[in-house]
Amino acid sequence: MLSFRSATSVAFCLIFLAGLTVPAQAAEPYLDFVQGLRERGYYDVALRYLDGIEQDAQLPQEIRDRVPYERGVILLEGARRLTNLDEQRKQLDRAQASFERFVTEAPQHPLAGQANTERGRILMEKARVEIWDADDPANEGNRDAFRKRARDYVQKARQIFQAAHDQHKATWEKFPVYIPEDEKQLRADRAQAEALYMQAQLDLAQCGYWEAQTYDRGSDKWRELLTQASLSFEEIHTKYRSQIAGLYARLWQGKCFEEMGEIRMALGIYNELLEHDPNTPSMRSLQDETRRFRLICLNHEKRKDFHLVVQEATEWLNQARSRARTTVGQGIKWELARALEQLGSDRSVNEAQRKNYLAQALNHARAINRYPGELKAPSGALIQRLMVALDRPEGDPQDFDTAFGLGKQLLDETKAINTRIEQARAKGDRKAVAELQATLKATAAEMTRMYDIALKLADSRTEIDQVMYARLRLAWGYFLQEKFYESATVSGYVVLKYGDEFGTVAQEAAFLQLVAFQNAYLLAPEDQRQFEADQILAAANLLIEEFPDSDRATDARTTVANVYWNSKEYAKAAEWWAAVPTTATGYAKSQIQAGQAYWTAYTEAVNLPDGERPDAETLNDLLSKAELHIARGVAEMEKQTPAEAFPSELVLGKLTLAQIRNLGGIYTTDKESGTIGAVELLTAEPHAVTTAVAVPEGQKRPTDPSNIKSSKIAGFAYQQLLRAYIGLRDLDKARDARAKLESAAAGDDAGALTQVYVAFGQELQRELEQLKAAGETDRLNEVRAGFESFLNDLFGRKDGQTFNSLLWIAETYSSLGEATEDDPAKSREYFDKAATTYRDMLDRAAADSNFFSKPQQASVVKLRLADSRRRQGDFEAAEQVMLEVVAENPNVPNVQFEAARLYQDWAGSGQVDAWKKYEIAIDGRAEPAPVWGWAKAAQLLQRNLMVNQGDEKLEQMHLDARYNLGESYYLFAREQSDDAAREKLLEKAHYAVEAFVRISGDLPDEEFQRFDALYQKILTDQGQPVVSLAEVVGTGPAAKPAEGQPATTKTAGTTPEAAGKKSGKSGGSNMLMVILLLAVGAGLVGGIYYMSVSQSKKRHAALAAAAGKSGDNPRRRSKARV
Amino acid sequence: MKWNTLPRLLGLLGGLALIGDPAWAVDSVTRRSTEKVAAGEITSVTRDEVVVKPKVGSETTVPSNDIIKIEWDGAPPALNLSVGQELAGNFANALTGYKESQEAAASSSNSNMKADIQFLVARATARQALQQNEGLDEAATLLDQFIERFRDHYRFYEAQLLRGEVAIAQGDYAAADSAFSSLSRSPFADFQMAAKIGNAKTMLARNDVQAAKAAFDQVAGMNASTPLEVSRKLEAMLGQANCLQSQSQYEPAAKILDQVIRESSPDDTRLQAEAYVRQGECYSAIGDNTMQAIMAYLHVDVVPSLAREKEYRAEALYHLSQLWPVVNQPARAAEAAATLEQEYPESEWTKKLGGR
Repeated sequence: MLSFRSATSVAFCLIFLAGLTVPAQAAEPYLDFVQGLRERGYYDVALRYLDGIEQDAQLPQEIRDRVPYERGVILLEGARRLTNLDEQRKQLDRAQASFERFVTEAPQHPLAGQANTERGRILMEKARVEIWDADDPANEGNRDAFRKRARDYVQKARQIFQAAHDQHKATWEKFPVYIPEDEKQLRADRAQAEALYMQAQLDLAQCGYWEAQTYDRGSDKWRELLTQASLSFEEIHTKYRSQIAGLYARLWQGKCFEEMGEIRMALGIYNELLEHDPNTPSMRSLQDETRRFRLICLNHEKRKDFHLVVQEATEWLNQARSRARTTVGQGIKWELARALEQLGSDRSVNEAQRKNYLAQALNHARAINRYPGELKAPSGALIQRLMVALDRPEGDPQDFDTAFGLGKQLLDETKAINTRIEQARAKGDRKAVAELQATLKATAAEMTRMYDIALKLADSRTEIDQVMYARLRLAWGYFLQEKFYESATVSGYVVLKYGDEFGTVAQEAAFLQLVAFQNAYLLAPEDQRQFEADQILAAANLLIEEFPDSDRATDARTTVANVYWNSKEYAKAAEWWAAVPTTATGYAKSQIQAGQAYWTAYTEAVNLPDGERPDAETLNDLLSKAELHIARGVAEMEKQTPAEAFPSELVLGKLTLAQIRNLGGIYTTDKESGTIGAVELLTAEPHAVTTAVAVPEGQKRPTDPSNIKSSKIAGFAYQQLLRAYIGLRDLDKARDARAKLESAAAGDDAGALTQVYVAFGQELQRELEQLKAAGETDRLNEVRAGFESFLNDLFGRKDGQTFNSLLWIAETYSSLGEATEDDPAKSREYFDKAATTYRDMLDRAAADSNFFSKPQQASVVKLRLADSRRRQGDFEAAEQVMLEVVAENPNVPNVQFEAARLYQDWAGSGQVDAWKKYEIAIDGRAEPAPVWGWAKAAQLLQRNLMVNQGDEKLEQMHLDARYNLGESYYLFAREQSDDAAREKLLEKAHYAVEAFVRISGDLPDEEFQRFDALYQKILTDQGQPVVSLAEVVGTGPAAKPAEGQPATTKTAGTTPEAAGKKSGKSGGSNMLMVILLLAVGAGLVGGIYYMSVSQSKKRHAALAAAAGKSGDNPRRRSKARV
Repeated sequence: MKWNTLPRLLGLLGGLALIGDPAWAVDSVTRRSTEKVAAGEITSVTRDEVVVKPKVGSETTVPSNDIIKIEWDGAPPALNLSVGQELAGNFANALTGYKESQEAAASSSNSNMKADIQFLVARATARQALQQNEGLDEAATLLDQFIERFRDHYRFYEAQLLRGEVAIAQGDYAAADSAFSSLSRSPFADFQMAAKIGNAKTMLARNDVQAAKAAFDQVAGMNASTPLEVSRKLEAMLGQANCLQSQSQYEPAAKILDQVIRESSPDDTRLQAEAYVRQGECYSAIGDNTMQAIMAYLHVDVVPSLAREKEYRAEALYHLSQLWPVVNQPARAAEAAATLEQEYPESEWTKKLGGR
């Protein structure tokens, strides 16, 4: 038997609420107040209020008419929260009476139909209760009477539903078949009428299904009614197969099949329903119900697929914890218990495993049995069977000592199971580990129950220490079951109650509380962890205060540090790690962790946009703390570590310290101060990083990126070594380090080699930006000069250059150019050098047909050349190359994107008459090569998106093209001296932005704000009232103040891992281009286009700033780049 | 073409069709008495009226007490958004936006607009100060600066009224008298009534309950013909109830408050919220009326339009946290206290809750 509260209840709920939001004209907000009370669950107050206002002679008539309806709604909602079935029945009666009174007194009221439907539902609810009672073995003698009452209720409900059905059908049919799209209200009214009509049909079909349940299974009448219901559901599904009501009908059709033994057909239907995308709450509810029905089929004697039931039910319960206590959740748990019982009854399975299944089944049955409803009686019977099967005493202990003793036995069992888990884990037997963990949970649940009973039986004669241990073990039992809040609460109580008298126990309890909250923290959604974090802090402070020198206090500090680390509060995390005392076992490691946390805090802060970045003093403080703690931790750990050992903390600590030393220009050890330089940190024995990351020749590197011998970490180590030798201007050693870098990080993998270039370029840019942010101007210039000199030397050696080495040089020049944008002349110089290198590549290719390994590489190098010339400000030269690329690749979207951008940048350059280039940027040109311009590029990108939906990079390019189109119109307008031409272009800009946002649905916040800022500028220039796009198009986020903007892109790059993540996600550098150069074999279109859409963090920052200050002119207008 | 292409294209066409002709540059005046906005060039601004000259047709004169807001041509984009923030009670955000607008408009030649922004900064500062009972001196200074500098601006009377309220909160009754005296010379009946109410509030603050009651009685007895005048009259009735409360005459006070609630406009949420809170106090004091008191306070807590009146909701939540245990509902008390602490951490009622 099944409860039924699902069918399109969501749709109905909306209709139901819509009825309540009719504003009252009276000054006293009667209905708002009642609704507010109901939403709070203050049903008693709401009922009292209605009673009160009904006595008020001045109550407006329209409110008086509605009071019975409101009372019915409150009683109905309240009844659903009652756990006592008798109370629930009584309240449902009262609700029904209220709805009846309402319908009788106000039959023409707009809510009369809804009240009738609610009456019908209450009757069906009652019918189901009678059916459950009829199925209860305890009521066997009265079964017929229960069934008759159920049938009567169904009959009455059917009459009501039929009346509602006719009424809703007539209402719906009054609407015209075609309603123009702009008559929104009429369309909405028709949709609501149709929803009511669909619901009425479903309600009627449900009556047939439930009436069938009032007859013996397999009887003629049962079969006849069920067949009829099945046909009715099918009819509804056929009419509304794409709507939720139609899908619910399909679900119930499957249920009818299942009950008639057509398991295969039922499963076919359920599988079909489970394939829908669960993208709405109502679809999710439908699929939960479907999952439950499917499990019933799998448990059916025709399938007996019990293992699959256990697997699917366990997965569902793990994924849908918040829904586990709903009726459907209970039903799924019930099917799980049934399957476990069956598995536990299989004599072919060993005894221990069978007991394990049965114990788990018992736990689930007990959990189900706590709640009233259809599963109360069957779960009670299951508990009895399982107790017998497990040979457990049927009754619970009656005194503290017995319960305490049984609890202790179970505690010992958990210890033994834990030992077996460790053994299985050591053997790598994952299956055994999983099974044992399930057994552990089941045993812990029984242990918890036993200590709970013991504590209830404790009295003044019970010894206090026994009560204390019972409580502590109760907390431990909860912990083993992963009920962390319960565990923390009980252990917290132990600390409070016994802390003064039993210090050691209190210490353990405090630690258990801390760990329980830590686990709860890790399980909580990332944005809802504040409570858990606060509790961890409080528990840790307690431990540290009470037991400052204990290992538990060190654990507490580390735990809090980890919490802060997870919440990205790195400086706070660092403080906690740094506070670990020198006497503690993990002192050295904690020092390194503290230093790395300070370093992460520093790099995060340095990468903030100008307005948000801390001052140079704060930054330097973070940096010096990072250096101090890592150096201290490294020194301490080196003392403790044998020469041949390479703990990863030590290696990574040294690597980070080398990075810091490189940043500070300490490339080699300073003999006076003794400060160890980057080169020595990386290469000096013992514990040289280069030794630690080395692998024997021919051996593959591990794929786990956290392994110190992985390509990622080895590559990063050599990157730092290369960086140090560049700093020392030691060309030979630098070349050697670069070769090792390529070998360590890439081996023979050309794709991985490109990643090496990408990572190095990113690292260089990051370093320059950090120095800039920290105000280290001299050092910044020194680093730039060092790189430049190195690159010049390298480029100067004409012999031995390959495609790869020249590409590396060109891209590193580009990185320097990008990182030097605050010095336009210098930046132009770097881009010029990049362009020269690209030109050199093209010249070499002209002389040597084997220089490019793939012919398409030529186009890409030209595109990079054009980009460098554009950024250099040499637009004529850029155009010349760009037109060549366009002629060769006229239909490649991102070539066209770059061409349009070139003309837009040119137009905005301020050169004489350059502004006229806006026309080409917008509308393109046919000759000498077909340039699309933003208008056509945007259209074609949109069209391309229709066949490549979900392609984020293409979507970003499309958004940028749309934005640039609007902006180009706007900027072009501002250049016009003729008012009419200006207004016309502004009008185009206005339409381009507004129409695009209007049809784009929910743009991401950052994008919406970008378009909104542009829109407001256009309105200002048009002389129109300045309003937010959100008001105009009715979508998007409400306008937010600047400080409410989403954070700009941050590039931490504090560790190889972080650097890797960033590069994988956004590219972030000109170096990404290199990937393309080696990937073009996959097709130029795809390659060029993917390469083009990497994002620059600076661009993000400027964009966010522009969005925040709508009046400002965003310096950048594109997130897409080459 | 995929299935969703067509609706997307139709949406694009629809979107284009929906955009009307762009308007020409205008100032627009939003009025209390009519939904019709007076749009055109503002050619004259005095403390009593604003004259709007539309592009076509004759001039419109809008009395200053009828003006809700003016959207100035060329105003910084952040300005209108900040007005919305202020209306929603987000004073800190509003102030940020106003100050940004002030900077952005610094180079504008429109002195009336700049004065308007200066007033908005002062108003948001004053409202925030009155809500938090902090920063009153700064609010007073800003209002004084506006009044001194823009004596012939349409915001003049509104500024005086607000200055009087701030002065009462400061305990500077002389300043309050001066502000209300100035306000009483307004040609508009509702401002004159407001001035009398201000005087009465000052007397009440001075503990001269008899005189205050008489002054409130006088306004409550006046004929009110416009919605603004009705609102002032009800405000005076609220004052009457306050006086009766301070004289421990809770039952008649509760009756008056009931009338205020019934007769006030649903839009007059501030008046309603205060009336419910005072009614809660009266019922609490009468004895054996705990549930009625709870009901009164609950209105301010659960009715969304009233809950927006933050200072009254904080007060209501405080009282609810004290009253629920009396009717054996400690969990609801805890809920009210938690809401108060979470949503209004800076409120004086939260401090009172924590015994601060």
